[in-house]
Amino acid sequence: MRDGIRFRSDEFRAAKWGSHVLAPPVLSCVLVLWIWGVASAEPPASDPAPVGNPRAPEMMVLLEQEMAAGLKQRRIEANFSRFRSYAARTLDNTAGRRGSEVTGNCRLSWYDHMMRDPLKAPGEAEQFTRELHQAVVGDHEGLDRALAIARTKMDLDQRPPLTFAPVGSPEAALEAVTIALGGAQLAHNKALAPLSRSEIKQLADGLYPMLTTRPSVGHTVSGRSTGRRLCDLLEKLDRNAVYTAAESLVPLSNPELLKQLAALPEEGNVTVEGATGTITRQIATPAGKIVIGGREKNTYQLDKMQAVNVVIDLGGDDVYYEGSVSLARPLLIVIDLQGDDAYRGTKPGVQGSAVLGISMLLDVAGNDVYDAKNVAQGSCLGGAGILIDYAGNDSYRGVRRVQGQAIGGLGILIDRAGHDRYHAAMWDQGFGGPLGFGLLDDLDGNDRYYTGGLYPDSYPETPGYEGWGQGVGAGLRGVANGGLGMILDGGGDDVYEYDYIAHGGGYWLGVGFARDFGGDDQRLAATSKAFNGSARRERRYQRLGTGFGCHYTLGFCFDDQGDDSYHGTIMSVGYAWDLSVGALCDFAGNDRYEAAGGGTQGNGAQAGLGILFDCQGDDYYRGYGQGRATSSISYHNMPQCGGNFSFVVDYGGEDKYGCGAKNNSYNRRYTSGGFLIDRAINKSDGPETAESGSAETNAGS
Amino acid sequence: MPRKAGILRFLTTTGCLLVLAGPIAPSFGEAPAQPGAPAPATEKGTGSPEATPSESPPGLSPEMAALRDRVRRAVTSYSQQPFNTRDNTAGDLIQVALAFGGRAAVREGSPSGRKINAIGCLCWNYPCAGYRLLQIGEGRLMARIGYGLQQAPSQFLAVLATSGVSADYEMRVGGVSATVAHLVKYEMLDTRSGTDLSLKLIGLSHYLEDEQHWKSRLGEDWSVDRLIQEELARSADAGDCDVTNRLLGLSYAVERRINRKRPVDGRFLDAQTYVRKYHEYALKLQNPNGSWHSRFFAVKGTSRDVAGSLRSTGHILEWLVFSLPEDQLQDPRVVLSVGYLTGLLESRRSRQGPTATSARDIGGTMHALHALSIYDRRVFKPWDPEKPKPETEDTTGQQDAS
Repeated sequence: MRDGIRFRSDEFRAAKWGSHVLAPPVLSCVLVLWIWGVASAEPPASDPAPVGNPRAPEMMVLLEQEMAAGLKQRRIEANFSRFRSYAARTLDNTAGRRGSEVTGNCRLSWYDHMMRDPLKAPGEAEQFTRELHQAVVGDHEGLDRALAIARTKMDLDQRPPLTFAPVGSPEAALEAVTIALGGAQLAHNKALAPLSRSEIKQLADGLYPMLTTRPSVGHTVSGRSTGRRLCDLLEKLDRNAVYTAAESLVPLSNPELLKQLAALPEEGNVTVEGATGTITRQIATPAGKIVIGGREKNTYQLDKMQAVNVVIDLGGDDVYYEGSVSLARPLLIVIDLQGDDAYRGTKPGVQGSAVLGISMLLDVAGNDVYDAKNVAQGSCLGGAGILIDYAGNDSYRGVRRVQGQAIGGLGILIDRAGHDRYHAAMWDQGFGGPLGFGLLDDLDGNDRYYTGGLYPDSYPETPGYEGWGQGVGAGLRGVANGGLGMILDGGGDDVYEYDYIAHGGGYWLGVGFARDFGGDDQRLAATSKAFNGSARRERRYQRLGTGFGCHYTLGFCFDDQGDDSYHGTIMSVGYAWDLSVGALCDFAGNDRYEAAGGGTQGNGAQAGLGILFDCQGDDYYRGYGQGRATSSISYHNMPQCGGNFSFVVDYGGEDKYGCGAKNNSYNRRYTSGGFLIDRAINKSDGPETAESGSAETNAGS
Repeated sequence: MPRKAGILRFLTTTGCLLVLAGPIAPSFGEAPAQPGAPAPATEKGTGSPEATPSESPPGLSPEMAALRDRVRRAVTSYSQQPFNTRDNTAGDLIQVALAFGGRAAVREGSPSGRKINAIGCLCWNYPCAGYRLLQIGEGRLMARIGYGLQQAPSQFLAVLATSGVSADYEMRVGGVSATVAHLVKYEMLDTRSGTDLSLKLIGLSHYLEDEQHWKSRLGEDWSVDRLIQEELARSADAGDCDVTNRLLGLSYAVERRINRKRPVDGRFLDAQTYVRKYHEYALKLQNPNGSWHSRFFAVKGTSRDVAGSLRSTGHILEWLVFSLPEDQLQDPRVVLSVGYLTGLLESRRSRQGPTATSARDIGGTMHALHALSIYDRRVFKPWDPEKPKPETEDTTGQQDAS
């Protein structure tokens, strides 16, 4: 190991709490206190049950303080200030501009806020994902909270919590369905009211082909002026009303209401075109027709039932075909109360999805199969699509814009239990495009996620497939800013496969989040097989993944528990490119960081802040890239842009670094912006101060 | 007993359902009304009840005469917009009917198609941009809500009421013939506590007797009195037309009561007191140019959202000129708002078009025109020179538009 720059101990003695310049020894003490305090921390009784690692918030504070202290110790605070100022100026200069490639349209203020304070952004992201998941865990009241959180982040009006009337009988439950349907219809009408008929027609005709089937690449559209026009029209949509429409349907997710519906008597047999099996009732309301299917098997050709807005099925192994939601039928609710069901569709806007509409699919029990093509399974293009599956081992299969995907609205897929499989090709599994809030939250079970394997990537110099899923917030390059995309997993040993630009990342002024709250998880990166299960035609190669930001964005990946592995090829595992922030934070377990190509493991490049943060456990860092910061920047002017900032911070355990850095050491990685900080935690003997064994070195360089 | 009341009493006591009979001449597909022909029949003398006469107004000043001419030009000009059944939804046509009442005309099939009566078109369930307003379910006639349809519960019934359409006016759905009374019956059954009842209050206070009681589908006991009570207790969104709908509903019930020469007591008195308090409150929030903020009563101040300001000012003035006592109609603040709205409508005339205008802007414009029409009738009409009565009596029931 070469001689490094020793930091001066008197510099740290001057540091104090709350100043963001805590010295390493103080940080070490804080770490010990944190470990001792784990058992005593109890949340307030009125709060929902905590999720994930209870100390995650404190860890994020420590990380922020560690980074601030490092910048101060190296005397590069001014550089970092320039980085912040440069980002702020770029945001200011592009806000509202329509003429340049970077535009201000569809920009979210929370994105803007986090970009201006990048050291605090990981902490905010941790809080957001924790609170969002905590909300989703909590049934209908939790869904209400989740939508309230979404409103906050999507620049919408705040509202008081919904009140849920008790549902004491099957008929009362049916009445609640009628009320929900009426509320959603009225709100949907209001949502479209700011648009003229010709504008609505432009959206209806253009949204799906322009944003889904026509693009040959993942990052933009062909025909940028048309794309921009569509995004402008989505900005005109009354998005408050879109959320109100979705909120109108929240009471339907109340387990008590669903239980009462399941007790509805089978009292008749009516004929409904498009449905087979026993249909016990058909009810007409001003807001649409409600059909109730019996307890035996039914098939529903939903697109032949255009006048029907609600299907309640009491039981049986049912098959649902299509069920597209668009202006022709802007609202559809499907509630299936029992049985192993199959949902099959080829059209856009099916299975709890919508194009300019509002849709909800609730499947209460059974092992279900969801098979669709595009814009499906909790997805929307202008509107809201919600799919909640309450139980069973389920399979979700789609191609593009599926499984918690949103542009111009809400796309939510919640699976509450079971071992589930998610399979998709592009823009999926918690993806937020312009003005979109896309969420996939699987609460429990050993799950398998796959995105990619079908469309060759758009980088000519590297092999692979487009991915664009698993917690990605992405704009359309040269067209519009991105939204928020989240993938959250509550527990179980999960496996994630993903191709390019996937898993907790932002692209083009969007923000993405991936978080797994428990279990031993494998993030395999590049898909092992092609989309259809055959051998890949492209060599296994993954670019931009696992806590990354690319082009004016922020991306975060969190893992709360378990022994996890992180794979990848290049530009991943806490990576930032082009005025971005990318962070991967693992809060516990013996973890392996296997991604070892260029730009991996806490790297910032082209004026970026890349972070890899690991707490506890004996961890292995393969390769040489940990915390590497180069001086090479060609996208922005130096010194105005501040430089590159790279952090690997590891607290506790016996860790091994491919770059040669030692346990309990403090290392400079290439330039002064490169940090590899390893600190020990010793419960019984108190802190092993970083000072004692942390003379700064130039590890591996 | 008036015919309408008789029909309703029959309906409510027998729970009469529609007779699902075959087509009744004229067959569906015929024009609901020819241009100039009286489409909706009216019950004479029981049209919309606003304008409680008191003392004769003072003579019109030259300024007011000039304002009258501008108001009438604006209303006439907008009444000739080429709204049509190809490009405009049923929801748009409900707004047109609100503004121009029984005389509202739209074009059939295209902007150059033949003129048909807007209310007739809706009552005969013509497809409007593909959307049909009415449906029959379980033997009952109901007006649908949602995109392209009613924007609020009971909106169509309220427009029928304010247009003075009689309860026995024919409605057709497919091969089924019914009347407005059947729609009234459904709205009675579909009354639900804790919901927005403002427009239902307008419709039912118009078509029902004040003492009438009924049971809803859910078994709740209802009356106009209870509708008022629920509306008084309801919290409306102060930042949207919800707040003016609520005030208009309460005002309508009170004015209807007065129009029937019944004492304003009990809930009606509560409503009247409440509305009068709100008059002053609303005028305090008025801007110096006569407008209100686009967020209605939620924000005081001007807004750069001109369309939003037209919408809020139109809704607020509509309620004010409907409910203010006659001696306050020429209050300078009211006159200022009338002038503001007229000017805004004049300046935006060229921007209007059946497909180039949003449903929100069409609604805002039509409520503004309705406000001006009410103002014209209450303030300017009494000073019009007497005209010889035409040989054919106008039976459209139109009372709002000039």
